[in-house]
Amino acid sequence: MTAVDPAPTRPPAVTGSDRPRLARHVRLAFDPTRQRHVLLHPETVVVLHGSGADILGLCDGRRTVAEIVDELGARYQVVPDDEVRRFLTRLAARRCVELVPADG
Amino acid sequence: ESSLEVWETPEFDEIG
Repeated sequence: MTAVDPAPTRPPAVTGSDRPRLARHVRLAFDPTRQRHVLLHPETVVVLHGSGADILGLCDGRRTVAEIVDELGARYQVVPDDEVRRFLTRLAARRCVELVPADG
Repeated sequence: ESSLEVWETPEFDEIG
């Protein structure tokens, strides 16, 4: 019996004041074959579903998560901020997203 | 009527 850790590492959960950005080695692109946005990572491809690409398109290291949710609110009827934070936390665990220090 | 889009839960699949 081997337990499989769902995430390679366990960073702290993303909060509303964090400033996420794509990791240096990760690129957001559109895959015409899958007709999906993907994150291109040196060793993996992360296929995005739902509103994931829209969230990541706003992750520039300057906006806070709260500001990202606010901007998405202009596009969507409802934006559950807990879903946005959970999504970014999971991507941070895979080192696809990094958080810019508040002072940096 | 609303011109706003319907939110879809953000998910991802990781493919090695």
